[in-house]
Amino acid sequence: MTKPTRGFPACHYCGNCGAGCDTASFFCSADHLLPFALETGKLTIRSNAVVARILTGENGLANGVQYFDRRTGAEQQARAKVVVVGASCVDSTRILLNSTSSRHPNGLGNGSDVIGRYLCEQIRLNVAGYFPSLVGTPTRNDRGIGGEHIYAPRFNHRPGHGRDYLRGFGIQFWNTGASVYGAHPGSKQIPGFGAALKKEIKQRHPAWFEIHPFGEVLPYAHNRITVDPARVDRYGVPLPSIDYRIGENERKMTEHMADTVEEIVKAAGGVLVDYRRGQLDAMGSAVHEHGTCRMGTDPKRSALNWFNQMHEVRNVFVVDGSAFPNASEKNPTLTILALAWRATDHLAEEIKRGAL
Amino acid sequence: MALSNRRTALRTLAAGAVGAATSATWVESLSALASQQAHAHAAQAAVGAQKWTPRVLNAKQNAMVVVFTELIIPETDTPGAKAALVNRFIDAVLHAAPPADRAAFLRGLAWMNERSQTVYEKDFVSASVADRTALLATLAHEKNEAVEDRLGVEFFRAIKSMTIDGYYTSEIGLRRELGDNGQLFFAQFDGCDHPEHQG
Repeated sequence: MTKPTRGFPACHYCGNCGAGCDTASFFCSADHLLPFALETGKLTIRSNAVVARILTGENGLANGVQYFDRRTGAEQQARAKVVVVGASCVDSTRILLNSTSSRHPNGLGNGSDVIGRYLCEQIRLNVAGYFPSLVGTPTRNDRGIGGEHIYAPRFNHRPGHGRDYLRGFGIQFWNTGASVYGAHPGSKQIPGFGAALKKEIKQRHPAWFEIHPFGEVLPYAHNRITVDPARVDRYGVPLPSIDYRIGENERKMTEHMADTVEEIVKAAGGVLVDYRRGQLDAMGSAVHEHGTCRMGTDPKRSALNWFNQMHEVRNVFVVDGSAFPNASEKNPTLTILALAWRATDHLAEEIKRGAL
Repeated sequence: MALSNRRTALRTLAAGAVGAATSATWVESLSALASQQAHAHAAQAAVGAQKWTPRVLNAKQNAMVVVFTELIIPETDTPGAKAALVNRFIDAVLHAAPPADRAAFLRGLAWMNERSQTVYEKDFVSASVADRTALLATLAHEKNEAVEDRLGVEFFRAIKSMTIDGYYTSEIGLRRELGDNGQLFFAQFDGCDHPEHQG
């Protein structure tokens, strides 16, 4: 934050944002939401509680959660009028699918059978190289603070940039400057050993770059999280199992990503290192899972309404990325927060109205 | 950087899976572990250099690792891997590694000694600098696909990768060799100053 906010000082640019901020000068729910909620006296935080299932009554509505104490393994319950689920896409899905009952034999609120389906995780290329024009120049600390990077927004909607596929990709540019985390991994690709290797690593140190296009994967019903009763965690709760494969649309997009990266690197005078055209990172590397408890207007084709509220179980809200009907190519955290905020505003109104 | 590190770890592991044809899994696995542990190493080195005993390596193996790492990143106008205590980093990585990977690394060390005995009639640490360097050059050669050298080639890749992680995250490597001054940031970003982009 550039100005003092809620009693916390403005950013002092120490640069260690990735480890959390000691002065709470960037927004984080642990600093900027939870303490204020605790001050109301109406919030109890129960740490080390691993939620396994959402419990329901005979009327089919949720009435609490079952959880296990991480330290003792003891099974516990917490009773509730309303349950808000935000365990991140994969685990929220797992909890919902494990919450079976006579009223919800296919998992909680899953009469439509969409929960677990339409998993969207972005595809990602990981390209590294260096600029000969920067080789041997002095080490500069020009990376900025806390993992900032250059971002090229999706552009294929612009005239002349379209291709024969749906949706698109954005590009993150990293390591544009000397790493403060040691030698770039590309250093290991420099042949040989000894003084010559040492010299080359130093010379290339300010010259490395990385380019990461992130592309949208369409929502496919076959990309799916299920729970497997044969594989359980240490509390005996079934683990998730993930089926995921991309199709022709994503393969065409990958080609466009590769063409774009190659064009940029050529124009900028860079040299690619260990480059394997079109080789995508392992699925899951983008760490932006979405879609397995999607919102929509049609209860037959979606699990949640536009307030993240379950169509079939009106006192359950799901507020993480699983609520998204698709992943887009972007980083989702701010949108997740905005939707969660809207959902909980609605929840508060519903409670005041006596509807929940 | 947490997310980025997580991605790096995933990427490295994934590379291990697909790159198995060119690099043995244990090499990728140890390399990935070394990258993950590099920060812990930086913290440890700052603490106690006085008293140290290896947890995995015996005295002979440790001496060999010291010699080996110094061959990979030697003292030049700045200190090398030996002064940066990269052997301690490698011992710590091996301690944290799955037993099978640890065993593969130790087999690699033994292989080096046997090869040195065969060729130079001396174990690796006792061989001349020229002989050691020649032996390493054979293994470092990108086109070396000889079956009888395979373990040595794999071992060289593993220890080179671990040495690079250990050395360049040490104070000697990062500050003195690479010239990082610990300043992470600009207090202000003034934007692009290319004249053609103004206005």
